[in-house]
Amino acid sequence: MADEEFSGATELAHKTTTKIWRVWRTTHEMCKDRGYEISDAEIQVGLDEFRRQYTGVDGLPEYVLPNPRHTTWLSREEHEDCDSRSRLKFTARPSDHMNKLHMPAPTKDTPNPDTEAGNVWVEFLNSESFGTKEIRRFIEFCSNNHYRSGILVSHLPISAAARKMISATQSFTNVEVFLEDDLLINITHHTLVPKHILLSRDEKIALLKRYRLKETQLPRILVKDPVAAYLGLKKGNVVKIIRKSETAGRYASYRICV
Amino acid sequence: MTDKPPSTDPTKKPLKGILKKSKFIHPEPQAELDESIVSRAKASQTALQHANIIADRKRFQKHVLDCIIRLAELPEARNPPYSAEKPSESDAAEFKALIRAFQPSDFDDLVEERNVTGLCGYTLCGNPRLRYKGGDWKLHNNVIVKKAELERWCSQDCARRAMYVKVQLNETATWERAGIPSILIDLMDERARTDEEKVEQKMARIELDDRRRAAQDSEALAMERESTKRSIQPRMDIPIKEKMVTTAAEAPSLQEDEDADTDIHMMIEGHRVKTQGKKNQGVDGAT
Ligand SMILES: [Zn+2]
Repeated sequence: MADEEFSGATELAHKTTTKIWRVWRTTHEMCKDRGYEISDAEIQVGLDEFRRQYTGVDGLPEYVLPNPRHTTWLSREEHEDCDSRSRLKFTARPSDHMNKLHMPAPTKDTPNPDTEAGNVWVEFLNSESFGTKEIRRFIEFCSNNHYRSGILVSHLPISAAARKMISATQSFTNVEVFLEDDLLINITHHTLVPKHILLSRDEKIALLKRYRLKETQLPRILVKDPVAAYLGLKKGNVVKIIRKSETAGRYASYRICV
Repeated sequence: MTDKPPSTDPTKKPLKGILKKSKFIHPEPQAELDESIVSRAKASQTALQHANIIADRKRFQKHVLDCIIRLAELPEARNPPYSAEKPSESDAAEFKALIRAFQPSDFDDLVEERNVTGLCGYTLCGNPRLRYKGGDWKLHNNVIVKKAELERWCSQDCARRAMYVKVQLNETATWERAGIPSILIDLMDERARTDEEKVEQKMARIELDDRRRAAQDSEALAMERESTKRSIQPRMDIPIKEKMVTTAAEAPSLQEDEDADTDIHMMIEGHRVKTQGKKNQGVDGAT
């Protein structure tokens, strides 16, 4: 009986670990695609190695270990309640290319402005509720440690008030929230999703000049569009979208983020 | 009909048509300069005003958010003799004071925020919210209800208490009605419990000086209409002058003149639509 329960719990734990491993990998790919310095080795962590690094001693995730308060193994609900994502956090530096990409316009006072890109802090939500308390802690952590942006990957939907809190502090700390389920697969790897490339400020100006366009005349992409969210686009950013066409080869179009 | 203005007096500025901008056709260059400076100053003042309004709105939104965070922690007094039905004085007062700024949607956010921490959605209740096992739907009083809806509260009493407050909230945005003194929120359990209390409450209300209340009402109304200094000052001075009429007043008539121009409004791309009455007249004219 105990054996059966144990194997059931183990199987579930392994499933959860596999899921988190995939999300972990997509999160790294996403940071790399945004221009942060992430090595291929960091992305290509195998499942076994991931299990060794981020779970308990026996290769079992920490949360499947017997709870001292219980004589039996944890039930399904219980080990979902346990602290299981506490080790999943990392930081990354922007690459030179990314620094250039996020260079603001020079002004009279600052002819050589500093790049707006900065270090990113990534963390997985390690709690069983996701309200203002959790998001406040995360925002404060990011701003106290001078991270330019923070990404919180959550297994729970965020509350409306917490979301409002993010937008209220957006001008100081740029915080983004992703659902684990949305990062199980990398959408940009799908064959039907064309390649999106963020343009720098100068490239955007050159584009508008060349086609004699106003910003408002460009086709649009929504901030909440999955690809826009993946690339962390802000309002006013322009992306070049490269599609493959059977008749025309490759062709590019442009969209402005609104 | 002539539109000529009565510019017989040369010292007077000529009156202008409504489509022309006065500053561009002003005869004196010095005055033009002055006016453009004035208009630029006005424009920047307007821009500043609007920036202030937006900043104000942000401040109010922040305020509501802070209220949600605070109210999600209530009540302070969770143990008997206090309960959702009989909350402590300070909890009830704080709830009523902070909830005033809320719109119904903010109230829903508050309920959600409390639910996230496992509390009953009603602010003055310290009980944990209900949790059911099983599917998305639940049979409740012989009605099928969404489980999530039931799980927002600890009991149906609390659901009713919350609704009682929610329906009193105003749909208009916070920044438009901030500071309106007449918004007072009642709690369900405060409805007078005995007749004596009822009378007492009524007496208290009557005591309010009628005149003072009228003044308050009109002030609240004015504020609602954004007309006090607090919300928006007059953006631009737009003087409206009546045009002098020199010709004798003429009663409007449906009769058509000989002149085709007068019924030009009946023409569609140069073609006159023939109505019943006109047709007869047209025939008459042809013969
Ligand atoms: Zn309750």
